[in-house]
Amino acid sequence: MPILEPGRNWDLVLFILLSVTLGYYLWRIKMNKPLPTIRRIPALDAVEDGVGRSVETGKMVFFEPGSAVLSGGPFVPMTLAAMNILRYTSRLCAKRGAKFVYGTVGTEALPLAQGIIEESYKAEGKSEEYRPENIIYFGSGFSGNMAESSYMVTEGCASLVMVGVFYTSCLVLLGASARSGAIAIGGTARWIMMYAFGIAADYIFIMEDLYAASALVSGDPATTSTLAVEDVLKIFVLGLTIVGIVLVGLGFKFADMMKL
Amino acid sequence: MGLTALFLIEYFAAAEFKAIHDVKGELTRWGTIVSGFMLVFGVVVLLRHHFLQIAVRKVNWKDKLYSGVFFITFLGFLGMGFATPARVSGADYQWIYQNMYRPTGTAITALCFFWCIYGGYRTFTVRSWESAAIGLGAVIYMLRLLPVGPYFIPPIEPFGDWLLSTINVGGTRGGTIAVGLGALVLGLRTLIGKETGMLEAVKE
Repeated sequence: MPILEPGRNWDLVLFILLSVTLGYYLWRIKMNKPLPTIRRIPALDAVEDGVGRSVETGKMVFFEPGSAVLSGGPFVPMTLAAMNILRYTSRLCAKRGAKFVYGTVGTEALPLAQGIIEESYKAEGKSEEYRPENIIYFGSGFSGNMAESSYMVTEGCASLVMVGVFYTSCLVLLGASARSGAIAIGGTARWIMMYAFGIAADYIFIMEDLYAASALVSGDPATTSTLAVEDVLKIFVLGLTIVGIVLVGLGFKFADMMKL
Repeated sequence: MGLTALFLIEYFAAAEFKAIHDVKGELTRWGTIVSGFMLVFGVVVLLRHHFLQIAVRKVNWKDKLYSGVFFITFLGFLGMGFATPARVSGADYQWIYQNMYRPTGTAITALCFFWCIYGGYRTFTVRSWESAAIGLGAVIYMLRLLPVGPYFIPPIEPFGDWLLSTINVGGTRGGTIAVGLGALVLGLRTLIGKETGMLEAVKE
């Protein structure tokens, strides 16, 4: 009797490799052994500059998490990563006294975001400065983005932080941020929308940078060391690709060999 | 964590392990039931909020008007959906959808696309290597798509196709694999309780 579902053996290999590597780095942390150095992400540093700019100008920091999907599918990790960066940004704003506005066109993550922002203010000992009215649902889809852009231009915005799940309409917000003279910092893990951030944002999180930034803001070595796990997996995939190229060049049917 | 482990085991387990697949199926069904209930709960909360805005809370007349319009429109649509025998596929409901909702939606979408182009036009400056590459690629590919492009510069057509099918596909695959691995690591971090970013403030 087969134990494994046919066609999923490679998935299992990848999962075991992932678990073993993660276990190895967690063991290193436990044993106080040196951890890999992780480079800074310029867009993450720019969030700090953006908050500083907001304090100087008295204008708001506008945070937009995109469609913020939590109910399932490939967009959930992006939303979770965005929520981590939200905590970082809102906490910085609370610490420095910058006006923080959370605007969204997706309702699913709204209660979660509300909790994160409130807790950020509590963590900084500034509960009285928390403003629930600054957490705004602008309506869904395109009309919501239009309302957000109008709000940004009329209220004045020092810095726009856009991370999460985005579609074409993100250009509306990026255009509005340029019009209100704000620094635009953003990114998404959706490759199809990277062009928008590439052309219109001042600082970008390029695809997986979003997940890396999400781990970096935690400041926890256990969390940040998991980025090294990603690199190990990348090396594995790269190795597999090179082996595949060589084997195909030698006439082997590599694609069939991979169908385990 | 137990549930996630169960879902993981179910993913890898062969079809012969019927019990595991049945448990997963049952849990998924309950997920759907809870989601459905939450939808009804959401409708009740939303209606209550707008009712309070109209009748009880001391808010300005604009907010009362917006809430009133929402309240009446929502109940109208809901009533129409349930009252007509064919419900949402009925002629009355479809008339409202086709003649009211759709034109409004189309107008907003069209307006938004103009704003997207405007946004891109206003903000696109070559300020990094990434934006320079995007700009160059866009110019070449636009020239390839325009009828006059291949007419005046014949090599632009195969070059544009090569950019799309080779450079673009290679970059996309690399990016997609990296993003997939990132999501996988985030998932595993959550599974073992190391994804504490959102809970840090609570811990303190």
